[in-house]
Formats: sequence, structure tokens, C-alpha cells
Amino acid sequence: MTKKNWEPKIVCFACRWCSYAGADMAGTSRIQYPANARVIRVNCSGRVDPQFILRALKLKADGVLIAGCHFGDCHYISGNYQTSRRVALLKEYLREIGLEPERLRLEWISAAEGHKFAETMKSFVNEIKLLGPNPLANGGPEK
Amino acid sequence: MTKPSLAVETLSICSGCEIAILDLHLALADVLDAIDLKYIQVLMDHREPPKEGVTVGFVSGGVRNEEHLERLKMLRERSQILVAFGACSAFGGVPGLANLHTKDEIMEEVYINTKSTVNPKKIIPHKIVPPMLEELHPVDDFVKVDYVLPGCPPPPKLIAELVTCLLEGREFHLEPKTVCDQCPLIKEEKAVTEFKRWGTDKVFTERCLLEQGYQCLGPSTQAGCEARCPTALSPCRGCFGPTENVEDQAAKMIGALGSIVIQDPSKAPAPEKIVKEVPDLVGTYLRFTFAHSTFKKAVHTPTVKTKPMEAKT
Repeated sequence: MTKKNWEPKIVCFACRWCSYAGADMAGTSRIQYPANARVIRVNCSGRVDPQFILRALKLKADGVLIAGCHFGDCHYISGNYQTSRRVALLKEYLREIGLEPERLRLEWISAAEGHKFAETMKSFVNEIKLLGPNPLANGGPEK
Repeated sequence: MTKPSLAVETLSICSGCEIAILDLHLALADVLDAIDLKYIQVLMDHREPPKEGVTVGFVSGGVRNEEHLERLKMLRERSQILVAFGACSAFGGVPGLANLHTKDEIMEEVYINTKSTVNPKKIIPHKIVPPMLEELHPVDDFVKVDYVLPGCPPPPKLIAELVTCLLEGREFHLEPKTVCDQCPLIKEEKAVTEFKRWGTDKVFTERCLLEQGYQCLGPSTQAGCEARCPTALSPCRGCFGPTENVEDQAAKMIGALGSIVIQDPSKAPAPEKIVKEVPDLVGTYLRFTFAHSTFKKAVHTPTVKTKPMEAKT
């Protein structure tokens, strides 16, 4: 793929109770947003094993977005608190091994916030476009 | 019947694993009766394993330069069973942390930048010494390994067990458990309110170190050592590597750390505060397994460089 038509590949883990429904909401409300994300439905953002995120980045995903319920809304009470701690530590891990921590993002999106889902997608895709492709992708970074 | 023969090859390592063989103490007499020790550099003056081959080859240490690679391949060819002996050969070990930097950075730091070095012509040795590989590799990057005996060093009890298994023709397996399963410290409620760095506060004896807020790698580490560090009230450092089917020890530890914090959000420490208590995340969670983790080495790009470690206060 050439520099010009490169589009970021984003892996999005969306919580079943809030964010996935939020993505549905964005769809049914016909809000336009970039189609760069491959959305994976998980039961809770706390279900996202740190290994999933590392493997996604290792397999040359350009960004990983984790979307869960707002604090206090978690269907499993504390899943999203656990995720917030894990993501903070993972960002530090990525920074130490030389990957941009911005490639990993955590957002709280409720089932009613279709708009926020679309906005998050837009801003995340823009941010990843500024960062460029995953440095592990073939040919190294092109900027 | 001829006795089964053993060769021990030493690669990039401190030789502590060989000393662990001697730590068998009285059992060593039985072992030496049962096997024929053909080649072990710390004890005997041989240059290479015998040409006619050996039954079992132990390889300790990771592969850092081309000579190591050659000797590793030679041992593989000449031994029927190859055992990755110790954390360094199995996962890269502590020397594997050098993979955070490129080969050139390491050479420059060691031969030019260190304060005790006088090298006005800035010569980096390249003749006579074997050329260094770009990064350190665990042995299973190059050859097939039949058994893995991790540990830094492997506990004598497991060495004896492995040797006995091999002599009797049985399979050797580590139990699919974590260090926590074998740890005698009392585990009560997982409700950490504060993470502390080792040595900054008092330690309660008989109570799980992780529950006290210390970074103990027990939950992400393969069992087998009978929790020798936590038993002596020192946090587990993870020398047995990840458990079966786990790729990245740090991922498991981060996963565990997320969930042991107290559920009440008003009492839980902020994520930023937790990060602050892990000043050297890769060096703490992947101390022995960085060369065998998901990324195996730092991602070096011209624009993004691994920042030098800063001391956080």
C-alpha cells in the first residue's frame, strides 16, 4: 500500500452493554464516521485481556480502541475500573518498548451516545493518521 | 549397558545454572553414578561436546553472538534430547533486557560512553571477537527444544527430578500452576488500596505480599520453585517465566494488577498513581522474559526512540 492511500486499521473492543449499543445507535441514527475500525464485541471492557491488545499491535494494527461503560454504569460493577488501571499500565509498557502510547485509547461510551462513538472514531482516526502506520508494519514507518 | 551421557553448554550466561547442578549436594553423588558427564566447561577442560554425541544436552544461556549460535547448533546435532536449562536459555533472561536497545547503542555505551572508559579513537572491537547478533535470542528461536527447565537458577530439586525422569524414560512436566498456588503466605481479600515499592515500607510476615501492595509476580509466573522467594518474604521476580500458553508475562501481570485493587472506587488508587509505582515496567514484569515476550525487542524507529529510564520520585 502506498503512502497516499494508506488508511489506518483500528481494532475496537466494544463492551456489549454500552459501547456496542452506542455503535448501534450511531448506525441507526445514520451518523457518518470513518470505517477504519474493526469492532469486536466483548461482554465487558474488563474482559479485554492485555494480551489481546499487545497481540493486535504486534499483528500491525495501527491503533486499538477500548470502549466501555461510564464509571458506575458497568454491568459487572467494577469491570471498567479494572480496565482503566490496565490501560494506564499498558500505555507505560508501550512507551517503554518504543511504541507510541497514543495508539491505545480508552473511551467511555454509553448506549445513548451514538454521537460520541462517531466523534471518538473521527478523532482517533485523525490522531493515528498523524502518527502514521504501525512501525512494525512492512517497510517501517513512512511519514 | 553404557551410562547415558550428559553435555552442558554455556552460552550468554553467568554460569549460575551450572553451579545449581553442584547444589544437588548429596544427590549429586547418585547423579554422577548414573550418568556420564562428558562436557561441562565450568568443571572440565574440553572445547566442545564429544563428536560421537551425547544422550542429553543441557544448554544454559541465551544466544547473543555468532559463536553462541554455532555452539548451540553443534550441541543440538550431537545430543538426542536438548534441555533449555535456566531462564536465560528458555526466555533470554536478564541479558534479554538489552533488547530494549539496538546493538549499536549497546556497543557505543559500553566502549565509548561509560565514564570509566578511555577510548579516544572510539574503536569498537570487531576483529577476533565473534560478531554480536542484532538482539539476544532464547534458544528456541533457532533450534527445537525438547524440555524446558526455567528458573534463575533452576532449583536443585527440579534438576534431580528432570534427570531422574530422563533416566527412567518418563516425560518431564512442570505443573500447570502459578507461584501463588505453591505460596504458603496467607491470602485473604484482594483489596489493595496502595501500591508500594519494595523496601519503602514495613512488611507483614505470613501475609500475601501482593495484598500488602508489593509488586510480586506470583500470579503471572509458572510454578515449580515452591515459591522460594515469597517464602523468604521477598516478592517473586518471575524467573520461571509465564505459565503454559501465555505469551507475555507482563500482560498477565497487568491483568492481575487491574483486578486486585479494592472495588470501592473512592478508596482505589488512581491509575496514574499505580503507573508511578512501577518505575521500570519492562524491567519489573519482564525481567527474565523480555526476549520471549510478545514484542521480543523494542520497536526501533528513526523518529521514536526508547527514552532513557528516568528515576521517578
